[in-house]
Amino acid sequence: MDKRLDLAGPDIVFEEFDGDLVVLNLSTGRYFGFNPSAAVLWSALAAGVCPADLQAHLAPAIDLATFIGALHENALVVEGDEAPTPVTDDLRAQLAKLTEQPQLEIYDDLSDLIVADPIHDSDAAQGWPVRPAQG
Amino acid sequence: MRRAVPIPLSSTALADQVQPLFAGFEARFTAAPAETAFHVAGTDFLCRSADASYSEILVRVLPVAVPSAAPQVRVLVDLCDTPLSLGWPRWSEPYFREREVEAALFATPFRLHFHDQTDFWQVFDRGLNCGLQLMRKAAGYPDWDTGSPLRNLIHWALAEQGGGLVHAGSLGLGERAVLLAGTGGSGKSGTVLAGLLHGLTSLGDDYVAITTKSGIRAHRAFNSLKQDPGGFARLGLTGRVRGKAALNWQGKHQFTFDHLGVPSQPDSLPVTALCLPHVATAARTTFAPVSAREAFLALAPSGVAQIPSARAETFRLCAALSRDLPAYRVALGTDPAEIAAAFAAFLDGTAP
Repeated sequence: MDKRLDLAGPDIVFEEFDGDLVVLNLSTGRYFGFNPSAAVLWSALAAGVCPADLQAHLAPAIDLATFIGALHENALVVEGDEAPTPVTDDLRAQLAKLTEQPQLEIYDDLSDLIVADPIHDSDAAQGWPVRPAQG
Repeated sequence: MRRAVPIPLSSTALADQVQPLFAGFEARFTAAPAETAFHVAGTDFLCRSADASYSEILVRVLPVAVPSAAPQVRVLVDLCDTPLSLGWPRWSEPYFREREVEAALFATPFRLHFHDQTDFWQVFDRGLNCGLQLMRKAAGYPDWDTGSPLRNLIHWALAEQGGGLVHAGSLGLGERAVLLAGTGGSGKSGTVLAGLLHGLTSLGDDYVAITTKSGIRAHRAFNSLKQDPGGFARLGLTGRVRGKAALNWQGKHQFTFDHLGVPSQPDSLPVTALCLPHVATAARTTFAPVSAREAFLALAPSGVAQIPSARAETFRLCAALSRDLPAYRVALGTDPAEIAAAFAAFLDGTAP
């Protein structure tokens, strides 16, 4: 928890929408929806703050470890080598306000889309147009 | 057929290997016999093709224009056995991984796509604004190409100006338009046709070009329309476009705006909303606001997946549209005239 986490390379792209975050892993084609709590934590991690420093400023009920585990499990972050970035006053205030558990929702819409619309003859990892393996 | 000299490509030092594909471009471009000029989103394209039959497709499907004296983008459709052909690319690794190739070329002037089953290559040089489409033989394109020919090359060219193609249909009334986004089966094409048959306009049923420099504006990129046989009959198109709407590779009728016999359509319109239709078999068509995140998740995945070698850019463009446009989930009714009237009222600002 005291090592900073880096985004798992340029394949990880994300956009924020009114506090919510949508993350895409370009290498897998998998989309993730983050609730506002998860979005704050993600932004802090992306800025180089280490999980241990985040935990120190969160309410005890907030389950950071499970969230970090989900990020690793979905290959969104890797352990970084650089020194962690300190927590800013602004971030401290944001962390103190978090009451919702950070949640990461996985969207497998792309797989559904491939099945639903054969013109879009996609493979989730390879993109389009690559014929998915015939089942 | 003349045996082509292989030009090996691999994910290592790919940009250096791609560069020679453009060798002799000027001479090859000039020698290609068939010329098609078209205009998309304020950009003049000039395509010359070694395959005359491919030019016929371009003329039918693309928004053709009078050739510009100084086209911003030139595209050469070349064949393996043309006299000036210097060789043919050959992927020398076991697999062509789109994402790896995209990442390898990200910071270079090049964009590249390869369809291995047809040995079909598309390459774009962002510095020169020149594109290549290499086909192993005449008509050697993937089955789906005829509905949106040169799609990747058009997108890569427009992406240089902050725009690009998005996977969405459109409906317009007067000087405003909405985008229609959603997965296959959501009713995009049927909604576009319902609108066209009842007085609305459209810039496309599957892809539109987007520019954002002076507000969000949608532009016609392709004149093609498609509809499954059920919808085709339901909309009364059987007699209307008889004999001009052959079934495409996926069993859908494919035809053009011209075949539909509707009045001349606009080239571009400002966009006022993003609509996410779904087939609801509702008594009447209704619009309900949705979040930017929901709109983004309807718009982005298919477009990002379908246009290779520019996925991060498409992701960002879709995010900008979702953030800047109000979005609505549209529960579609069953009567095409009612659906069209609902969209007309929505576009006119008089919807309840």
